[in-house]
Amino acid sequence: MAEPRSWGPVNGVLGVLLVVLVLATVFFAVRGTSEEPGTVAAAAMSRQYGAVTAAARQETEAFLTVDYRHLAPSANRVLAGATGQFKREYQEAEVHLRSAARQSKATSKGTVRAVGIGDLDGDSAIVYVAADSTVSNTSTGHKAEPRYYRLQLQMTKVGGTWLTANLQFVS
Amino acid sequence: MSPETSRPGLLGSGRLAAVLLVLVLLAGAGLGWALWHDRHATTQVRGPISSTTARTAGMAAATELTEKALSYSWSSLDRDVKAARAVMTPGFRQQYDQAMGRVHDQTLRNHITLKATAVASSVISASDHEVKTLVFVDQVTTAKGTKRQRVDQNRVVVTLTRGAGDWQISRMKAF
Repeated sequence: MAEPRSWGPVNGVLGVLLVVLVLATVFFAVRGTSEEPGTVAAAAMSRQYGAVTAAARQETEAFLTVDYRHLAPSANRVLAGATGQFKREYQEAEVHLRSAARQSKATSKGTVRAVGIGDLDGDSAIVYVAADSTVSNTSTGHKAEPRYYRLQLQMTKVGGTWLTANLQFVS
Repeated sequence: MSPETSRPGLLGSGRLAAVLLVLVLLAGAGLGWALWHDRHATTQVRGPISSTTARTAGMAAATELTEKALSYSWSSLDRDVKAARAVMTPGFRQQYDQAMGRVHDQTLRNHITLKATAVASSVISASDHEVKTLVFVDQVTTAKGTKRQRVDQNRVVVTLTRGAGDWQISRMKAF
């Protein structure tokens, strides 16, 4: 039994096809890694956005949340997300805040409605937060009242974590 | 003649054909992967920002367009409304017309002026065609017969879209 002689042309076609496919694969693989430069920057900024937004949201909610019966947890959460000037100011004010909250039997539950980022570079960001809270204390007659806030947070990246260095109301 | 020399040459063998066929199939799969990867990498960026230039442009436009859309004076109402409508998409223009229809007569009668100032503008998300912004707006209202101004401190999520031309307001939500 002799092998059919017709494999020659078939092998030729397959060989050419193989070369074309390999070249095309290499072409698209190389092009994929050198894509438009804007795409790489956007992906990096998106990752930053996620981290900054989450940190700002957490810090704002901690800052606007008060329970005169359990003051430490929320204060500790604020301090854990704070650095620099904001941390110092909050530490200095804490004793006063605690006694005022106890005296007025204050509770407040903060909710973040929207977070936007203004200036942003590798390790600092100006963040704007729209937040609400439901407040109750002796001056509201212990009834829950809504409050609306506009906040500006100056955030810096310290050792891989975004922390709030300054927090102020925009009025 | 030995059996070896009676076989056809390597280039004509069926075994090579089988090997080549497998390689061609593998290369085809490789190309498919490369194409999919290429398309995915160049058109899809996951996350809120898929265009940094749109972010910068949208942040600047948000300030200007929001102030235009939310300001008007009884003394130049037609002109102000025209300027405001010019920075809106057709869809949002309809909502604006309805809202202005409700306050039109009262504005002229009471000599009402609204002046909106964007005190801060920031970006929530940005792509080439849509930028969602958070704008803090102070709106000062004055009216005939009252010396006092009313100041509203608003928080507005302003969505801008861009087709072929400039950025336009497509949605506004104050809360």
